[in-house]
Amino acid sequence: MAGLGMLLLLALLAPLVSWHAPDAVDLASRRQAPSLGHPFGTDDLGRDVFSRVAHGARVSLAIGLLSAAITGVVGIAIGASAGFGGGWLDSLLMRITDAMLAIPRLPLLMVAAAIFEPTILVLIMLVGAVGWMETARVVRAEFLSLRERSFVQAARAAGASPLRVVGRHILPNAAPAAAVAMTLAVGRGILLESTMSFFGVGVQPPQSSWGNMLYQAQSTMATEPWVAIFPGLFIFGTVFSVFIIGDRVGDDGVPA
Amino acid sequence: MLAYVARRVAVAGPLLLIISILVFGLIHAVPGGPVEMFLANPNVRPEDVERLRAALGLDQPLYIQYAAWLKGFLTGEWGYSFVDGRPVAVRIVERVPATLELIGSAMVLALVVAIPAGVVTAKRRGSWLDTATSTAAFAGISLPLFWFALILQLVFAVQLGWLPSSGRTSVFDGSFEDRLRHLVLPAAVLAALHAAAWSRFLRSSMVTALKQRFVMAAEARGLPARSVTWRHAFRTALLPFVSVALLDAAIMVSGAVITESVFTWPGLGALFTESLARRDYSVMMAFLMLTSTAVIVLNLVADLAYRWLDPRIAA
Repeated sequence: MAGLGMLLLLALLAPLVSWHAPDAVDLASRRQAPSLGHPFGTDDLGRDVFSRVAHGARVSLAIGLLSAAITGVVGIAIGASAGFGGGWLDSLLMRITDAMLAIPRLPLLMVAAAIFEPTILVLIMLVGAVGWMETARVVRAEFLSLRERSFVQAARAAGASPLRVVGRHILPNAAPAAAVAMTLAVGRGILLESTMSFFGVGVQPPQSSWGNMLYQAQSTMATEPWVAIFPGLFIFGTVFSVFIIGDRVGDDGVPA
Repeated sequence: MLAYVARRVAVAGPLLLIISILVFGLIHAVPGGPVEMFLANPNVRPEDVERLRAALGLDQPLYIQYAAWLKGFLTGEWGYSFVDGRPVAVRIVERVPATLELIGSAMVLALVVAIPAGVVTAKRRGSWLDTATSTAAFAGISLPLFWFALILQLVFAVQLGWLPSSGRTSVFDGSFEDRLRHLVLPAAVLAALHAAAWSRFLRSSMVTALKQRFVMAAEARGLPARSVTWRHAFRTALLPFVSVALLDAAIMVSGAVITESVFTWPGLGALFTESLARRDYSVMMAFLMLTSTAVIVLNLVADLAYRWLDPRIAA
């Protein structure tokens, strides 16, 4: 399963195999069903769906992975500070985390994207900004329990500075849990980005994203279902593989 | 117990405060502020914009504006919609029943699927049924809701013609059966994610419960297997599950936004996307505050219910 997941992801990472440019408008071949020349068919403007899906893959994966990186950095920083520091810092950070978790993520993102112009960079930051809470909680829990372990106490007794204790002892042991949380964040990020693009506040045309392809597919869905089926199938498949990988990482600590 | 309740309620206050600051900050991050839409209009003179700013109190220091806004929100003065000029509170309240209907049905549907799935797979771990259900559950949480909605529309409404593709009722037919037919697809879409997540959670919860000693004791006493499973183990597993189910409220709101938009279900979610498209900030802000408050209240209820239901946790 996980092997399939990795294969799928690798295949998506090399979308330079599209022999039609994704923006190539070819009004002579509009709305064609899948064929040899166009494996996924063409859309309303004659653009090849396959190459649009492939290029959309780069965008979606970039946003998913980079936003997960932001999620990781912010989440680990906050979780570590809360878990290790304790006391009022912990309370404050957890209140903020709870507050962020209470606001429904999608509407919040959509409003934010409507306010700030949704360039890819902005999208990465926004998606990252709403995903750190789960990672922070997991890291905090790990820190709280690891803090009391004997090897940590030994290090502190030996006079190690807090920074060293955290960096050399606690963090490496908290890493697997954080890794799982970050993997889940990739999947969530892809879903969030595609939903936002579907509603027009994500990746803007002509840049193709799986989400905005589906938005454009809505009007012609009845007669040209392939334009709607393939992009969504790829979103589903990618997120599915990511979640399965996350599950495996959680079990063994290593992917696949 | 009462002290615990008071403590939890007291915690909710600062939470709402933080959220309100966030939301207020968002609306004022709009380039041009709340009067932005007038700036682009050539018929509106700069003097008028200034007058509007003064009238709306936008020239005052930010913290005074925030205080005024917060006071307004707490007293039910949610401003006026930019789209049709009606009070935001009215526009929101009139959409609530439809959304409650959708969310309620989705929850029931999700429970109907998740409970048997979770319990049965917990009892038959490792069987093909367990693997199949687990895979289906993973699939359920990976589904892009809007795509799932489109596909269901395509299959059931367009190709097969069994169910209507949008709306809450047909134009000339308001019968119960008609409303039920309209409810099926949206509720199914909204329920899918939660059915998947809940079945997985319930499964692990049941597995833990079944390992408890009292289960072994009950079996040793000769209780029938079904009774052991449902009357004893399940009730124990139900406890954390209730909390988790209620905590999913925020996710359900996001799901409702998507589902209502695709199916043109006349609820709060659809109101939100309409307001988004037309940059109706007053409605969007009220929506965010309202849903966040609802989520926090539900979290509180979940917490208190957990404490009340579990006799071991005496406050």
